[in-house]
Amino acid sequence: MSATETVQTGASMPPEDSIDVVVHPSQRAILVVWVMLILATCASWVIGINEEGTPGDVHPMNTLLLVIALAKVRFVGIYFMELATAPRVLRGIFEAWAVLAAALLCLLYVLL
Amino acid sequence: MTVLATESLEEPGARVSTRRRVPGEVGIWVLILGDLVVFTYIFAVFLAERSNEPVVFAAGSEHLNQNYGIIYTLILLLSSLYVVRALHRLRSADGHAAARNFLGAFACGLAFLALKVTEWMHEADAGHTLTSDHFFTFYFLMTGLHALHLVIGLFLLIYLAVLARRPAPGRSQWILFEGGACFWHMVDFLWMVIFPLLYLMP
Repeated sequence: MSATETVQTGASMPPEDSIDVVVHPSQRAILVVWVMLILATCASWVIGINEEGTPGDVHPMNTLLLVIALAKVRFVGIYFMELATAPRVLRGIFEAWAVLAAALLCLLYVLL
Repeated sequence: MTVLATESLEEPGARVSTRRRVPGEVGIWVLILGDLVVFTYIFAVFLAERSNEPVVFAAGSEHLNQNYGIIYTLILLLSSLYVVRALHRLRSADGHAAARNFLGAFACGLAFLALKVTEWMHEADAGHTLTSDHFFTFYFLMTGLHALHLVIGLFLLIYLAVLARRPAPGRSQWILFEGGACFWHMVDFLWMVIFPLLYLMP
């Protein structure tokens, strides 16, 4: 997924004698990620519609649904929102949020 | 790696260095991250409330149409692809193709909104309102807040489509294109979490 094609010259002024380029993931990589997101969505739906059980019980599949959801969010952030080429701090904050949110929601679901 | 030729890259002595940059600008990310914190809090409270009234929440979720739920998610995923393609076209200096892609995303968003309003009316007809029970309080709150962001996004997309048709975007326009795109992707991925919480889980 590291194939890169499109080069965008940076929107800010480059330093003298050098050209700043931002190398984005290729459209092919984007499409692959997108298809995976579609499949993950369909998988979640299949899991969800087939779930049975009594209210109040903890169903492990539900934590899987939450994890899948936050994983999808992470991929949207990295590939669609171009965090792949963003400063590492920003990317790190986003990825940390995705992991923490998944952990928090799963814990709340399981423990409460 | 295929490089789109620009005059500057062919200058003798030009050094090419890859660098990292903030998509759009920092302000949009403050907004996005702030929104994420707020929504995560709402999701957490939803799960806490759910554990207090498991039967009510299970019944409420049963009542929702899971087919609608997945259709919403797929529509928004398609809209995000349109937006990614729009930016790609802009970077290839094809503003008109970019505008068409922004409008494609807009059409998806409009379809989502139409379906959402239909669903709300259906639920209201069945007697489910903001105050009928706690599940539906959260249902209307979460989908309502999300729809508000979506409507803002729809206005943004139209504006970006118009902007894309103008020649030679400068730095300010690029900030709008990228920042606006990020806002729309946020609308998409917020729904990705709302969908399983409301429609699939209980």
